[in-house]
Amino acid sequence: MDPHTRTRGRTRRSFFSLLIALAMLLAGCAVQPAAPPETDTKAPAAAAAPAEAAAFPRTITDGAGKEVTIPQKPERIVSLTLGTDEILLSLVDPKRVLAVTHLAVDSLWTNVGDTAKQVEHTVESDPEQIIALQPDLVLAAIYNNPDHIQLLRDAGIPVVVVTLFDTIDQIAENIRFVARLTGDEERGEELITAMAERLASIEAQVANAETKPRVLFYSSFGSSAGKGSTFSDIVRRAGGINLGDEALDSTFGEISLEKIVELDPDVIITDEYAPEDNAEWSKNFSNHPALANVSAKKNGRIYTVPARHLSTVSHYIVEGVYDMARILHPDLVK
Amino acid sequence: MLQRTLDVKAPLALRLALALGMLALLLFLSFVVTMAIGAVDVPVGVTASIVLQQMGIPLGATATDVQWSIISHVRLPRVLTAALVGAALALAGATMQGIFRNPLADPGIIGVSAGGALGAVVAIHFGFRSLHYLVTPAFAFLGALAAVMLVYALAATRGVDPLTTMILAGVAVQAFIGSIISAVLTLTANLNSMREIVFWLTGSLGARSWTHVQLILPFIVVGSLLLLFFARDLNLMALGEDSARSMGVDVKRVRLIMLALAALVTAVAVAVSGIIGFIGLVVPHMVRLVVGPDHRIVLPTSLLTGAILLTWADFGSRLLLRPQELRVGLITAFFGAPFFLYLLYRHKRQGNVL
Repeated sequence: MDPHTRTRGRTRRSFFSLLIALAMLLAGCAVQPAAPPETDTKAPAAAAAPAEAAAFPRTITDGAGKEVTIPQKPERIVSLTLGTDEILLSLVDPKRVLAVTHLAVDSLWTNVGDTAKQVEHTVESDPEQIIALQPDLVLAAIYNNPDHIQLLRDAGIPVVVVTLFDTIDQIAENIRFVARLTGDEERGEELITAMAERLASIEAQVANAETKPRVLFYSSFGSSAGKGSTFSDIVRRAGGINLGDEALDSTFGEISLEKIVELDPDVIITDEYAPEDNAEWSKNFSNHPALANVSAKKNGRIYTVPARHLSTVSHYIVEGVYDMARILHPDLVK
Repeated sequence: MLQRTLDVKAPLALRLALALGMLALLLFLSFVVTMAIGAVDVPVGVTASIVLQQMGIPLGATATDVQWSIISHVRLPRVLTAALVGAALALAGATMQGIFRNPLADPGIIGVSAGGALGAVVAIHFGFRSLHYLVTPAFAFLGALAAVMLVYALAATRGVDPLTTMILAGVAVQAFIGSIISAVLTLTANLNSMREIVFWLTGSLGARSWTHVQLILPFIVVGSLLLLFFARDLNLMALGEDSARSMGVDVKRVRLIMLALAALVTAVAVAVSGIIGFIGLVVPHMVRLVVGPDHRIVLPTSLLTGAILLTWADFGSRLLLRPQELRVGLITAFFGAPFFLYLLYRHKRQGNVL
């Protein structure tokens, strides 16, 4: 063998092992962020108030199965979902809430607009902005960006992920869960009881209805709501039948005009997600010739329910049930 | 004889040291400056001192807890990811252009990016993404590797020269995967996942954590250093396959190893950043304008230039529409495409092709 080639082969091999060793070294140590100085000196605030504060620190398992420890009764809460905004602002003194979502002050979506305006900040899920606020509790939902949640946790902020929002019973569970996080269990139970009583009264009023109208949701995106959606639960409790339960094979999905004609709903509910375009869209939709023989159109029963009542995942969903009951059984519901 | 070797080698080593030294300094300055500005502004001095402290050098001003958190948990992992991804894409681009002897080659040419996109789309569409924050990168990485292997398998059969066929197979696989992604996009009724898919397809370095850095660093460092080691072989291959063979280069083997390494570093980069175009295509051309065609200089300087450019592109994506964030893939394409045309025009005027 040519001696030149051999030397080259040997240098190459030792060079390789050097590189690999170097890379392992880099991967192993250099990237671990050093602990910030002075963090250790900051002991958790002494639990002075007896009653509820005594229960902290508490460790809970969140909806995503992650154990989160909340060191003391949260006084600097940041909420990243409209559902938790609404629950929080009904549950705790707004002074304890540092930031809510921009939806909480958007009159199209929010049920707590006035209270939300007292909250100092609104946030998107930008981790920098949230870290800068130094919250002691962040409420997020399973649909928030998992990378953002991880960054906040890396920075030592307790983040709790909420996962349940498909039915009204799950919403009650969520209120109980959030109340446990903030240490306001009593107020939480009050909210749940109030919600249950209001629901019971509506359900009692529609209980004697002779018929259950067949209802279909149709959004301006051309989609409908099926089994497992809050819409389905709202319709059932308001004394109706959600046609989407059978017609769709998922919670939400597209539905064609042909299918609407075939289903022949008694009532059609449309959304108001884009109010500026909505009047135009509604008119075009209800005047569509394909709908001419559909019962809902013939009897003038195409309605819009406010988005903040229909799509909320807080206790305000009872307002959606009420709106729906008024539409389905105008004679029975006050 | 010895004298002659030195004469040829000394200027190369000098030029290399000079170029790399300047670029490394520029990279460090880019880090400090781009990290100082964001939702919360941190003075440049404080930023520099936090970075130095992270490197074990206790120097400079003291930072508040918020500044420390934001720099060391949010921005530092983000710029490091940007630099690593930029370095990987530029180096892979330079390598691909060398191997295929084609100025239009970029890291995605053999289907890596498309495969990564398909992996990510699967993770997002079927909701696996919310299981763990590393699920999407894992799927993207596997998708990228699967696509490259498919392209290679398609091209390597029947004893044909795989090189030309690989580009064609790469184009075909990209188009095929593109149609699947479009189908998912048009069929999904879930607006949230549709948004996530579109976001992923335009590339982003938002919310990268230390875990992401740790995941990609060993692959990119080892892969890049190995690639740099083959720069001489790439020079010889530029003279033609036969000449390279006569100079003792096992062309087929070297080519395969380099392709695999370039595909690997690209797959790793795509996994954590989504699809970021033009860095891999444009940076090697920029670099060659300044340092000439020698791959021993082109490869390492492309690596550092790619790191610097993507750091600034990411900075632009954070800054331009503040507080909203643009996608970094949009920035690289928006500035990369006109610049590429400029290079083309310049070369044409000089009577050269790229």
